[in-house]
Amino acid sequence: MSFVGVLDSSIYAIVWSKCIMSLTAMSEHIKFVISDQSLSISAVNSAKTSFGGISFDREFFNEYSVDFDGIMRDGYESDEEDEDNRGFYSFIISSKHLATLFRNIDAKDLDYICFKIYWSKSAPVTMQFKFLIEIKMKTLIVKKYQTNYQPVYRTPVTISSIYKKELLDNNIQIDSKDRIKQMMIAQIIPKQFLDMVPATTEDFKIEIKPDKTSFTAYTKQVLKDRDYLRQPMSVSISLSPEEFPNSNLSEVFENENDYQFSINFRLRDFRNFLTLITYVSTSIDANITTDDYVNLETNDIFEISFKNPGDPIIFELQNIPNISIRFIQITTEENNGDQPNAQAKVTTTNNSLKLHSHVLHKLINNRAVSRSASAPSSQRNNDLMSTTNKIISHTSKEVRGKLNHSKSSKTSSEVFTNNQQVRSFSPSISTEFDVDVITYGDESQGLEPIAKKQKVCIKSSKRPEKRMLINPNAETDYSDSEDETENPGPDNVSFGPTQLQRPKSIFDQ
Amino acid sequence: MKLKLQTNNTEALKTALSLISSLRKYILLRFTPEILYVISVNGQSITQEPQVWCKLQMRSIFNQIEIQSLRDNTISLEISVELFLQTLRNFDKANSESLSIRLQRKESSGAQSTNSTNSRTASLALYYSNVNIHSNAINHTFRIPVKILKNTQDLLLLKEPELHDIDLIMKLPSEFVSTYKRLDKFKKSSNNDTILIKASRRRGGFLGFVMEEEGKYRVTISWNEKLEVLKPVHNNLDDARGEILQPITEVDKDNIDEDDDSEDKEIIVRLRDWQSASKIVATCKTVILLLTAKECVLHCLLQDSDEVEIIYYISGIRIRSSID
Repeated sequence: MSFVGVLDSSIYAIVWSKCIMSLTAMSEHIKFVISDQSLSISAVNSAKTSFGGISFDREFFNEYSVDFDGIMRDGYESDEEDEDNRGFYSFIISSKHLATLFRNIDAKDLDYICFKIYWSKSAPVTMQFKFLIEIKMKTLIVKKYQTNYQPVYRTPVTISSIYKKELLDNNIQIDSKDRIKQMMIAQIIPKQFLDMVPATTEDFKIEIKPDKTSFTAYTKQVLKDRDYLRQPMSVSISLSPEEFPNSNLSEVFENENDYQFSINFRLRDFRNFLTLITYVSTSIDANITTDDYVNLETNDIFEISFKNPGDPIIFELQNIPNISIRFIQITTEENNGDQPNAQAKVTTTNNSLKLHSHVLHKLINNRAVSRSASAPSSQRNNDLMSTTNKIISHTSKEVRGKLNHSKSSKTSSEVFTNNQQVRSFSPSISTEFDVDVITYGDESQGLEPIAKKQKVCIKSSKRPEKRMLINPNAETDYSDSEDETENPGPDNVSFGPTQLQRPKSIFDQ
Repeated sequence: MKLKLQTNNTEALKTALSLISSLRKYILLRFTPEILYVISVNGQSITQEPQVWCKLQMRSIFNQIEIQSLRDNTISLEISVELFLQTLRNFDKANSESLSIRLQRKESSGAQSTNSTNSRTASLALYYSNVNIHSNAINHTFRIPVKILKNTQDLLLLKEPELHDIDLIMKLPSEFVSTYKRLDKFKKSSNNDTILIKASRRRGGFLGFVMEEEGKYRVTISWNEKLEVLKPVHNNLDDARGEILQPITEVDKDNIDEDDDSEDKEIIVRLRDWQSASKIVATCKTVILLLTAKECVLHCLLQDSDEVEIIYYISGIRIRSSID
């Protein structure tokens, strides 16, 4: 067994389900990163403008065990410099599947929720790349679910740590615009505010002036011939700087007397964040009694940090034990017709402050390719792991192309069908690789071929005796791709019983 | 143009708005130094039914009033009733001292309008401040986009209907709203598009609703108890209003000729139009039905005083003389 996590407190189970639902609203996929110390789930929306991440410490789970021994390389990354962190296992799951499971969770009758993953190389193929969820109800009903996942690169979002570092550096020399602004705010203020805002409102603005800070929720209005085409209401609240429990605004703008700073972002995910944190902090407040009464009060506070319009804004809730919630959104300047200007600004933004979508970490693909390709490919395979994505994609495309050629030269009808599969798969690959990172948009398509390939592999490994008769010199060990020198591979499936000579591939020359 | 108002109690305004909010998305507010008109008419064709005119005494709602305009200190705005109402409800919940209302030439996204001053677009800003449970003092501002009506054409169209030759004035008892519930049951049947309203001074005051489909059925729903009916001496609404506001004195029974058919009045209106007044009739303290040859009017007072008047006009769709 490789990973086991068990939730048996009904409060935590609900918190878990709310977190899943919150991320579901953001994206089609939820990324899981499992490490020795914590399990974190995150989502990036398709426009890559907002990110939501929730990290659960191992103490959040009633039982939590991680064993990276003999782990498959797909999705696993280890940090060699840091000895404490032994590694991370990352994958994505369709949020739709998780949502159906956790939407109406009946927490009162819940005994436990158990998550399991078999990620070791020795695990049976049917159990690989499966996220297993077992829910036991107090009524003694046990529900078991399994869903496929796809391993991805971890690609941690570093924006928050960059901001923290800049905040600590506290460089007074820099222009106030480029410094990190941070403020703490009581949850109830934006919560009550958003309750008043009509549900269709789209944008949110934070405005800072010397004597007051204001929040505005608005929708851009559309005017035509001096008439409104769209008449949205704007709602705003303003507070004096003293209302923030903690902020560095006065410090940042110390040397300026008359300043006005404003930052805009989409309301939708901010609302999402607020709903989530209000829920999490109230449910945990009410149910977990701490000796420290003061602590209860501070639970109602969250943190906002931002820099310039165009740079990301971070919302963070960290004072809840065992959970930290962090949402990040890309911001814009106010669009008053000077749009080109704003855009120019965005493009110059530091790359490290951008949000990225998930990158598939799919070595199994290469392995399958290497089986059908000739000897040097295993060597290449190892190289590939260390080289960049782009190269992987190019080589695999190349190899795949060759593979197509070699296959089409064959005549067997079974080969033909197999070939078609590969072909129908390749367009999606090539479109994927046109961008420099692999998007996960084609996930469902991508998964299928893997599964098929796996099946093919099993078939071929069952056949050695038969083939021994036909070709005694053929390689018999197919189980380990690393050792392969010659590759009969999945192609051998097409070997008809009447076919005596093994057709030559172009790689065999 | 300047509009600055302040109020402590929005209850009357809120009730009046909520009563008519289901009729149309947009309403017209006409601010004058004495009276605030809240008007619900159809934007495209003004004749479409029903028309509602609410008249609120400015002094009874607002404690600070400042209205300046080139057109007799009158300002007319078109505003989304739902947004306006929502804001008033928020103010109510907030437990705040006072609500200020101001007309601003600012866009609702907060940026200064780049349009010329000639523009018809502006926003009505409502603001108040309150203190939340953590004792944070918060200022709230709501900017609702409005269209200013300056065109004399627009305004000409907007004239309160004048009633001529009022045939009958009838005070409806507060329990009368139950007839609306009865009529509601016939609403779903598509054949019952219209109803015939029959009213008469005879038989101690009669009011009935007839629904009929040729050759199939004929349903009459009528009020059994006696109704206070008045034969108007004056022939237009303004004079009649004075009478309405007075408690109706004992009807001079001797004057009623029980055999005179011409005392029976009839009008056909759309059932839907009649039914949408049900909330108004249910809420208002005083409800008076006026019938003319062409219109059917419900004149309502929210309270016993004349602080808030709601006048609900429905035109008859076909006039049948009582003879045939």
